[in-house]
Amino acid sequence: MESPTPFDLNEAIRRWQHNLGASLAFNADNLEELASHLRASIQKLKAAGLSEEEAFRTAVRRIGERGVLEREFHKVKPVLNWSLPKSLFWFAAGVFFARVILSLSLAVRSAEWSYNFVPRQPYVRLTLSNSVDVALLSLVVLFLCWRFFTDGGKKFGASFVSRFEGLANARLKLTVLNLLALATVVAFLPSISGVLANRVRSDPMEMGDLRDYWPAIARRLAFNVVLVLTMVFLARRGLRKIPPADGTLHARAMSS
Amino acid sequence: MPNGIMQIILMLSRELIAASSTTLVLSILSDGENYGYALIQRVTELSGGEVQWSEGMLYPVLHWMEKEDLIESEWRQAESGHRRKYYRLRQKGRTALHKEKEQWTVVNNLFTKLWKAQPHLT
Repeated sequence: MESPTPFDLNEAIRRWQHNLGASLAFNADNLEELASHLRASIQKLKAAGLSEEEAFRTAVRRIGERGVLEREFHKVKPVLNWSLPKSLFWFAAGVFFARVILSLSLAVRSAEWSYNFVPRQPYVRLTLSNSVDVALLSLVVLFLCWRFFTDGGKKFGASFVSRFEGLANARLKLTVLNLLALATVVAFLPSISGVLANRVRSDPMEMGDLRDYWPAIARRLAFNVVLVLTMVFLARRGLRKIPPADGTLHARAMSS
Repeated sequence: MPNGIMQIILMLSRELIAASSTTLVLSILSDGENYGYALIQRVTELSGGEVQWSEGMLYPVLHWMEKEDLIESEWRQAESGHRRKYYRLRQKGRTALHKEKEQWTVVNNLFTKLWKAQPHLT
C-alpha cells in the first residue's frame, strides 16, 4: 500500500483490543479469542471482495458494541464481584475484634503492672492509647455499618462504586485497589514497633533484656502476618480474574 | 439494547435464541471440536441465514458452558500463525445434549401434531 496513511490491520486490531481491555470484564484470554474471531471474520469478508479496512469495520460491527459485550462477559465472569466490599467489611470487623481482644489483654496486663509497681503514670498512658485505638476502630465499624446497612450509606456506597467503575482504565482501577490494600497493611505495621515503644516508655530502665519482648513482638508479628495474608487472600479473591501483565498478546498482534 | 445472552436479528425471538443456543452449541460440537467463529458460520449456514447470532455474544455462552463443565477449551496454533481457541464436548455435555434432544423432540412432536390438525393456521 502506497497511500500516505496505509491501513494497518494489526495495529487496528491491537487498538480495538486495547479499547476493550480498558474494561475489567475482559481478560487477556477473552481479548485474544475475540481478536481471533475478528481475524477469521475479516479473512472471510476480504475473500468476499471487501478491502482490508472495510472488512475490519464490518467485522467490528458484527462482533458487537463494547458496552453490550462488556455486560454479557461480565455476567458470566464478574471480574470484580462486589461481594468484595462485603468481604472487606467482615475483614475490618475481624480486625476490630482482634484489636479489641489485644487491647483488653494489654489493658489487663497494664493494670496488673500498675498494681505491682509504684510509678503508675506510664501504664495509664498505655491503657489510654488502647482506648483511643478502640474508639477509632469503633468509628470505622460504625461507618461500615452505616455504609452497608442503611439506605443513605448504601446510596453513598453505590455512588462511590459507580465513580470507581467510571475510571476508564483497568490498570488504574488495579492501582487504586493495590494502594488501598497497601495503605491498610502499612497502617497496621506500627503496631509491631508499638510494642517496643510502649515498653521503653513504660519502663526505660528495663530496656536491657530484649528476651522479655520476644513474646509480645512475636504475637504482634503473627497478628500482622495473618492480617497481610487475609488482605492478600481477599485481593486475590476479588481480582483473580484480572489478566496478568501480558506483553505477548500485543507482541503477537504487532509481529504478524 | 436487549440484555439477553443472545440476540436475534431475523426470525427467532430473543427468548428462543437464548433457550436454544446451548443446545445448538452442544449439537455442533458433538460433530467434533470447533472454534467460535466456525460455530457461528455453521449456524448461519444451516439456517440459511435465518438464525443469526450477535457474534460476540457467543463467547460468554461458551465460557459459561465451560464453567459448567459441559465443554472444554484448548488454544491451538492456526495456519495463519495466530492462536485459536477450540472447544470440545465433555461427558457432562454429552449427557446434557441427550436430555436436551429428548425435550426438544417432545416439543417438536407436540407442535407437529397440533399444526397438522390445523393445516390452515398461518
